Amino acid sequence: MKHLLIILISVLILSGCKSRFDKDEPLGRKNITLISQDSVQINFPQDFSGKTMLMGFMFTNCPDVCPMISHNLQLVQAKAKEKGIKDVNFVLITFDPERDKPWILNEYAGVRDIDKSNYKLLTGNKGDINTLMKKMQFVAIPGDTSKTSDGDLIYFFTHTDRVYLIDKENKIRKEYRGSKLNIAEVIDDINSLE
Amino acid sequence: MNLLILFLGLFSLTAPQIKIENAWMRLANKGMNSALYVDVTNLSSKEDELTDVSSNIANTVQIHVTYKQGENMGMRRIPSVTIKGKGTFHFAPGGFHIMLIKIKENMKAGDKKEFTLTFKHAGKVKVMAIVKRD
Repeated sequence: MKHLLIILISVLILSGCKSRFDKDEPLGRKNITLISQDSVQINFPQDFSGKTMLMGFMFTNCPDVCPMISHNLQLVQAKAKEKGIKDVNFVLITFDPERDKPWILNEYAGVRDIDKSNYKLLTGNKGDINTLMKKMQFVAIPGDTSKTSDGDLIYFFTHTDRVYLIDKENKIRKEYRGSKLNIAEVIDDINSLE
Repeated sequence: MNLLILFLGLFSLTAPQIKIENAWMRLANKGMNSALYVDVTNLSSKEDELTDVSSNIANTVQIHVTYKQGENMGMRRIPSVTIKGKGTFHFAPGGFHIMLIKIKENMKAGDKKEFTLTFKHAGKVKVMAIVKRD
């Protein structure tokens, strides 16, 4: 009877405990070929396997939300470095590859003083990126197009505000609001996956 | 006494009606887009309206708002912003901002760039914004 009570209490406690990670979804076996800001070919996500990855999507012509997301990833990168967390990568993939060529991504990284040692900005084939976004339930809808006085196209996107924590086996484990990232929470989560 | 009243009346007409503080813009290179953020305080008791922002540092300058729609974030141009009497309006990341399209020159953190804010009642107000990284 005593044993039964212990088992019952244990089951009740365990069922009440919430897992830190609410997801366990593989990114898929299929790699896509992307190009980094340094014009290096990247097989995504294979080239990032074996390390935790905090990743998201953005476009460089975004003046407001995307800079907040890229800056938040920098804050996590800096905190991870401070805490000696080595096995982690930071990745942003553009959903506007027609404009965001590698040198544009490189300039974006440069003005933000992004530490590129483990923080990559990637571009590539729009179809492949769209397929990945669909798998990750990320939406980016282009808005109306207008032109500057010089004839340059102006268009922006309505897009999901989300970054993803990917484990060493390329599984999505958690999602966060990218523009309002809780740095301490993300660091704890990365630590938990170490 | 009449002279005093006249003097006070003239002073109230010339006293600044708008106070601009904490003006900063995000660091960008030539060809990029950026945003200006600022706190605008209406010192008068009468409501005013920001109707335009201009600057030589960008090809196009527009008033925009970032909005949330479920999990998605969008942005739209708005024609003006109302500032309540004795109120402060905050242009801040993730909300209202002054959109700077196609910056005309490279800049560095610490630079100061001039903007002109046009108000319906207060008229034109110039401000120097500091260039910053996030």
